[in-house]
Amino acid sequence: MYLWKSWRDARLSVAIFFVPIVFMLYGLLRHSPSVHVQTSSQASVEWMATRWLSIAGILLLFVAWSLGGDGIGHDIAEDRGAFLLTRPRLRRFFVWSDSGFSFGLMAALAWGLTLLFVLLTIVHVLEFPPGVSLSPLAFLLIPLSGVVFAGLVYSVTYLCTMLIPRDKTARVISVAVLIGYAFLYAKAVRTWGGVTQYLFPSWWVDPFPYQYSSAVAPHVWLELGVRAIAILVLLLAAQFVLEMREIRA
Amino acid sequence: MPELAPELAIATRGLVKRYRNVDAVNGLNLSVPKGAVYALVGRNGSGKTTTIRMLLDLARPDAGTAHVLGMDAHVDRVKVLERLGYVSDRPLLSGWTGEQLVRFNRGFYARWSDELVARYVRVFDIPMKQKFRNLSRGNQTKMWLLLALAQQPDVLVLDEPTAGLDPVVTDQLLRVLVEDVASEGRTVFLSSHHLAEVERIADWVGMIDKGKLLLEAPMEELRAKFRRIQVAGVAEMAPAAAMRVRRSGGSTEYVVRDGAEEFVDALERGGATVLQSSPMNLSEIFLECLGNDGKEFEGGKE
Repeated sequence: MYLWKSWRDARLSVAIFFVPIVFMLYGLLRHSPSVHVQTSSQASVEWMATRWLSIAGILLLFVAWSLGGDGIGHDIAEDRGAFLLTRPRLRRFFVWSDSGFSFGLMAALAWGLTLLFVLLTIVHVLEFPPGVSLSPLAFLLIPLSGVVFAGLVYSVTYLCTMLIPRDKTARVISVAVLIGYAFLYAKAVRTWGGVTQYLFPSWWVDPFPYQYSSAVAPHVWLELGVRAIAILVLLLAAQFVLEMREIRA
Repeated sequence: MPELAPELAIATRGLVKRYRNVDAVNGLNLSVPKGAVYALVGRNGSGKTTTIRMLLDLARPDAGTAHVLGMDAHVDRVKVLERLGYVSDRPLLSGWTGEQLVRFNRGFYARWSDELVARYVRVFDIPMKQKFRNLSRGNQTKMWLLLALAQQPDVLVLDEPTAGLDPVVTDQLLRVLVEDVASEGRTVFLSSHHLAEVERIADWVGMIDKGKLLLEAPMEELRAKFRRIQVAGVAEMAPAAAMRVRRSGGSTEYVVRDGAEEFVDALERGGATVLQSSPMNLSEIFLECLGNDGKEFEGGKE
């Protein structure tokens, strides 16, 4: 039943997510004879799929941010905590139900976008040389990197709504944290170069960074794993805050 | 920790809650018998809602314990909440209709009864297709109560259930509490400062002020023991048992908490003429316990 509530809270964001996708598809299909990206650039299909997801993924980030701001912290800020948190469930149930639903939805959207890319290649809207197709590894890694990226955005926003009692303030601060960290990362890369990626990980892991090669980025699983741990830590922190938090009644 | 009597639905022992330097609840020892309609009465800010929040595990005590049906309100929160219904004036899910709220809530409770939903929709006449935020204040409270009753709780906790309601809705709610809930042996614990309403339905009363329990007793006992005694002239010496003494004109008025007959005998032995010995209603008892000037009754509950 709580998942039903999660879906009701998320459905507007999902609808907004699909509006530009539909427009993009319409544009691609309308001009399909002229879109022969691969033929002109010779870029690898994995590299292209990753760019596709990173562009369409902006929409995924919006969904992640929106889902992060719509969890139980939002309900508490809206004074619904006394109702929800007197249902017979442990407080952590609400954190992990919110997160389980959100990650499920983000994963569905990320794999859906990747599948859409594959479909566009099948119907020759995006054209690649004969025999070239997305490998199973790429089909796993590209959306996974999108989910991890979206998951970080979700977790930061979720924790902010748990820490900051005012709903809008929490959402604004989460955006500030996300942009601020990206800015610091860019600054660090410029100052210290490649060493930074281990000390100062970026929000996003690019699994196929080589334009003309299908090679996977070095230590990609480690990089994704570190970020997955960061997501877990952020959500555990949110759980801790919720368990300590006092609710108005 | 002291042994908790199994016949208690709610028991708090030495319960303390502080906010900065304010003791919202200060060493509260409540004993709510199973099957009682227990009213926790007190002024605004006396600690009623804070006590309820600790019973529901919405706030954590700084000291002491809160038990519901013999279970710790924090440690056994899920088991407690399975058997406890709660009614508040806070929003439910505002954009949801009554039907959706019922559907949402049903999944949380093993003992949920759709028959009870149908019955109370009829009794309360709630427009179930309207969104919660569009319901009147009275219907919002009814919706809370409907959801709480359909889960068939052993203990029903209501925080100021009649605040802001018109007399018709108030009467309707109170009748349901007495006729449907209390008559089935379930416990009703409500906070209120509407003493006339409390007097109609409660069989136990706890008076709280500044987070402390001033008095806890069955309603009948309060009615039987508290007496206002008017004496012509000024008695030689006011017996020490008097809770309050007021002199005006040619008469003296005593308020006694217990032993009114012995008190009257003592006055008459002292040569005073007792004009009247009358029982007091809950509002009068409340005012006397708190003091009309807000000064606390010193001889409160041990």
